Amino acid sequence: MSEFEDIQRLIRLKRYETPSEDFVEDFLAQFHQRQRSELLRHSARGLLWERVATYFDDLVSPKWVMAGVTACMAIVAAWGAMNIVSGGGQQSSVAMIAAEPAPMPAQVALVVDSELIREAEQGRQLEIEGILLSRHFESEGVALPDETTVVSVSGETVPVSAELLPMSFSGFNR
Amino acid sequence: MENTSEPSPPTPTSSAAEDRVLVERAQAGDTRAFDDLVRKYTTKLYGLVYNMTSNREDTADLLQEIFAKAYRSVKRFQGKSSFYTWIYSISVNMTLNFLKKRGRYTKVSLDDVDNGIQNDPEFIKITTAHRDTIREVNIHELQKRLNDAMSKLSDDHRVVVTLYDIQGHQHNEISKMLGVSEGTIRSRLFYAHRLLQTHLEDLVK
Repeated sequence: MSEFEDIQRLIRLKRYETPSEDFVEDFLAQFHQRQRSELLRHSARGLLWERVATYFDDLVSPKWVMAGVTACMAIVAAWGAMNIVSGGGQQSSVAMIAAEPAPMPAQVALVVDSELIREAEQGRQLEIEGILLSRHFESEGVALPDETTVVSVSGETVPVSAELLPMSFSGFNR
Repeated sequence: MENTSEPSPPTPTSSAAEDRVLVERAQAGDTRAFDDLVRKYTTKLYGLVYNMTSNREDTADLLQEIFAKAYRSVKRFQGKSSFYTWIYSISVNMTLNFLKKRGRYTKVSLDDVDNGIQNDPEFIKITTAHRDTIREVNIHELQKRLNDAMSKLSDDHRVVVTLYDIQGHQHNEISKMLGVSEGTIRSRLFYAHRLLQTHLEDLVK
């Protein structure tokens, strides 16, 4: 038995606070009247909106709404990305990339060319000088001119002076 | 936690299965089916709203709005809960919102004598067994005392007392209607009963 049983019984007497017998039918009549007046009060725009809302309520479930929104966002994002890449031009970016070879940076190319050429020329020059010296020692009777020319890798004639040779060798020749 | 005696459940005029059929017909556009639902629930919801607002005009107006909202929303009713729980949830929410807008202003109608109370055994018991305490008690006075005591409760406590003590709903049903746990319902009931006892002590001693 609850400690509040007496108070609960007392409060329960309020269940007699009920409407009169004809209240329900009168209430229903008022309800119908209210519905009709609401319909008349509605503007054309309101009715249109309500119909559209009801249509979508019936047609579309929340998961389809989410899917639709996601699809729209994906389409917009893809369209935006295409515009950015193509730069507003009519030609496809992929086609442009395929047609034009990628240009090398000018400074890098020069640096590589000059270093390679210099190394090759110096190497070649030293090799030629070595050959000439070996020939000189092989044929002692042949006089070596004071100044001779060799052909460099680049095709230019490079003068090689006997003075550039080691002193012992140049003195020996003379 | 309060160990309250369970009130007798309200006697349903028709089952939940009948409600389901009426709801399906109403969803298909049968206005007469919705009228039947209005007929069935008007009196029950009247008790809820009137005990919350303490005003008959406000009660009638609010009931019109409640059924208008239910009519607009009935197509979206998916049957996850019973129609009975659904319509009570709408009623409780709309009544609490109405009371918030109205503020603490209360206007108690005591012009109408409530039918049947004279024959209620509890009323007879109170008026006979405690004559020494409440010698001059009559229907109007008792009603006024009860209403005054109820008005001392907050809206949240009053709605629980109305649904449990007056309308005879179970804790789990009230929990679903209000969207709070059963523990909260029991706690609110305990607090409300204790407060009511202090205000109506002379009637129950």
